[in-house]
Amino acid sequence: MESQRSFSAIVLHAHLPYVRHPEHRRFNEELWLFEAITETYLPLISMLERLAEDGLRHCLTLSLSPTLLTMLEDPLLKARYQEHLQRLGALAREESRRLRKEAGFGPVAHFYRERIEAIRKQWEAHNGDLISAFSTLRAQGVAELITSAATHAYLPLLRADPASIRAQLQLGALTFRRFFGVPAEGVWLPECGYFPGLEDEIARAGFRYFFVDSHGIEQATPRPRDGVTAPLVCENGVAVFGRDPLSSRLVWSREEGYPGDPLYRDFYRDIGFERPLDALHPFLLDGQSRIHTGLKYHRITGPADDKLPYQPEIAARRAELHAEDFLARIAHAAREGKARGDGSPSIRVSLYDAELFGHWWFEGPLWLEAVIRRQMLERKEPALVTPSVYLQGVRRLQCATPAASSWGDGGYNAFWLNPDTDWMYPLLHQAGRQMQTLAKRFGQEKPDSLAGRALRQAGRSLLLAQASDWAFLQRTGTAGSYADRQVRAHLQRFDYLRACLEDQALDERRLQALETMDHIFPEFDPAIFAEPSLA
Amino acid sequence: MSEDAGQMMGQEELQRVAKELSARPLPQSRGTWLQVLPVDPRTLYAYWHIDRRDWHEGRDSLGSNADQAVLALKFRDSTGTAAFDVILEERCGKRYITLWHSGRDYRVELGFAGKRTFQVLAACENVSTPGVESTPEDEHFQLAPVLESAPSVAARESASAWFEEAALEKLAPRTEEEEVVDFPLSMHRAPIRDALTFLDLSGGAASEISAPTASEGNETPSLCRPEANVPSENFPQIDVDQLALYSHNARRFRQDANRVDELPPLPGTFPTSAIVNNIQPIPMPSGNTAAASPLAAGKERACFSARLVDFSSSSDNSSAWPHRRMLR
Repeated sequence: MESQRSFSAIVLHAHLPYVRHPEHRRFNEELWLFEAITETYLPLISMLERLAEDGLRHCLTLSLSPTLLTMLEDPLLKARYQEHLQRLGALAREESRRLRKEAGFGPVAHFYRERIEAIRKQWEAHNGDLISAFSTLRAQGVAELITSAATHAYLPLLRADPASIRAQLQLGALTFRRFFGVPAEGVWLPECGYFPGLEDEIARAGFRYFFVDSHGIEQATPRPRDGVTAPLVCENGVAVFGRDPLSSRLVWSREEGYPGDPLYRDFYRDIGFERPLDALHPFLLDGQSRIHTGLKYHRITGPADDKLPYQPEIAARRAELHAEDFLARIAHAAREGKARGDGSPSIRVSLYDAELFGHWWFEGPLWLEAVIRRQMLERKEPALVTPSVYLQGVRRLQCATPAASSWGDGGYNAFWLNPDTDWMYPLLHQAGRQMQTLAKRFGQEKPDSLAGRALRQAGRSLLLAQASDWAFLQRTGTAGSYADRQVRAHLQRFDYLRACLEDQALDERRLQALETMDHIFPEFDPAIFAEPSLA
Repeated sequence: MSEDAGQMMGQEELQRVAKELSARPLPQSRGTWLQVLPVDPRTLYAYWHIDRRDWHEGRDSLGSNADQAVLALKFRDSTGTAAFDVILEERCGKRYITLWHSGRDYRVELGFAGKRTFQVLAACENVSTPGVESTPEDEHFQLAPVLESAPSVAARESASAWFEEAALEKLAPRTEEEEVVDFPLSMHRAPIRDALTFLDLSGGAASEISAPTASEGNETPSLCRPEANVPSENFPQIDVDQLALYSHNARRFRQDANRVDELPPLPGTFPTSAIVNNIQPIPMPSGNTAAASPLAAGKERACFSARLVDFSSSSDNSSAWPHRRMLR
């Protein structure tokens, strides 16, 4: 039998919640963005630029969430990142000097010194404008850019508030268009959270495709004929791709995933928790609270606590081997896989968080580049494409409705709805209903009037409260108290603005303060909350 | 939003406002309502709030049965086979409910349950839990079209070129043994069995045309909409029997632009100038445009992927016939 042509797509989702605190000189949680820029976004841009120079195209699909885009553009955060890089560089230089005579840790300290210097130069070469860098890469065709919901709300749990779902998706589309000048073809649903009927709002926002976890396809109605490697089309024409379980397991699995290899860098052994406070003093925000610096000298080694020094070159070679292994397994699966009944090529879609590559899995960008280069330059099948390219060639798919699903632990909503987080949903739903009332009552106010500004800021507060990150962080217990404070703060701000509007007692100075602190979505139009729902 | 807000407000003032607002109590729930959310295939999460007035009125409406009535959630599933109550104790609260079955739709009511009565205070419709069993097969398996990108999207044009380039550059080249078939466009009438796409390889802007679906009366739609000055018999008709020979696999072939000179000479009977001048896009109900006959108008899925064919790039109309070569 003639071998079946097949494709693959690698999709990275880059997202961080909106964390910006101009009311403080420095703020710990802003480090999330700085770490991600240093360890993930700049290395990804470098990789894509190298691929573009070599003439490779449609290598990767990259989802950039609206909150992340907003923060990457923000002048305050850019300036703070610049300062962060200077402090990090100074720390790396001091460490390199301190360890220069040590055979074990000296080379890795030197490695970090040079790496951070290269990152600094790359940042300055781009003038701190990563949005333009991504835009150039999109225009060159090396990456397809898509986006996500406005503040990354977990949409299945907003089902009681259709206006908010509509606002999340449409504002996400608008924000992307503002940054890149073109609409996004696809949307990364936050946490791949889907429920039947959501495709109507997806289409209304102008998106053409989205992704669900494997069981979202496998449990679709009617039953998919060709499995998870055959995308489906909903009745309204929106295509849906399913996450490939094999490529997920090879990277994400705690037991067998590549990132757990003993030669790879250990994430948790950071000098921020090991060096004396006075040695770290300039880097720490308050001189006392220990934080991750990104300077980690040990390799995973094994389950025990005694870890050996990290050896970057050996780890890099291991990443190359893992890339070969990945491609071999994917190719084998493609050959053994079931052919599509209509003769169309199948597609394996590998979905990952972008921050996995470089931040959590330090060698991830090396692995990713090796996978892409080998697959494309050696013409390995399944051939690498982007979802839009695939849909240009395969225009007709099996019509089915995916199953309600997510890629969270358990596959449904439990990760975001549980005793740790359930307290917020009654408040979010109530605020959503109130926003609709406010939009209908005050929607005719001029945008630059006090009432018009307050209405818009209330909408921003509501959207910021809806971020799925707050429930996620509370559930995992990492930064749970910060997440708790953030969702409460946004709900309190919304309620304050609601009361001011209803009582017609607006304090312009306070409103200005809120506009300064939650400085996001200038294009937000509260009329979206006043629209009737789709039937 | 004030553009200068960032410059005008100092950190102390921002901190003060943030602190004042964070001291506000969280908003209180109001009214009488019920909300039920699916947690996983066999778990629902319900939360409710009953206004004090509604509470008292609800109980009063039960009359002499009020003392024996209990607050409850009543679950009815869409199959009509399962109904059960969950007794509640609080006027306002939350509850996780474990179900016996997955993949059901429920209507849930909150109210006072008496001996034979249920006084509804609030309801939540269409609460669906995902199924975990295999879904039924589609006996009438069919393919359906994907949404087209908006015509103004530059990315769509790029993507089209990318796929062609991908097919040319990245897929292994076809072998010599594969058969090349030329097909002319003039032909017999027959019902179209399938919508196909094929490329205009005449050079200029790459375009695609889908064959429109036929009406029940077996009339063969034409690719061109008749214009006033051109006799309709001069327009080419599609031989759908021949087109049906080309499956989706045929769409993957892309003619090497360097081989255009190898194309055989055009048949002399086609009114190529008419083709060049008279292929028009017409709006479809879905908003897509299509080059199609009036027969296709109103067909929801006809010509879903058609675009305006750019024949005008050819300077010499007599040799500009879009000769199509396909592999099968």
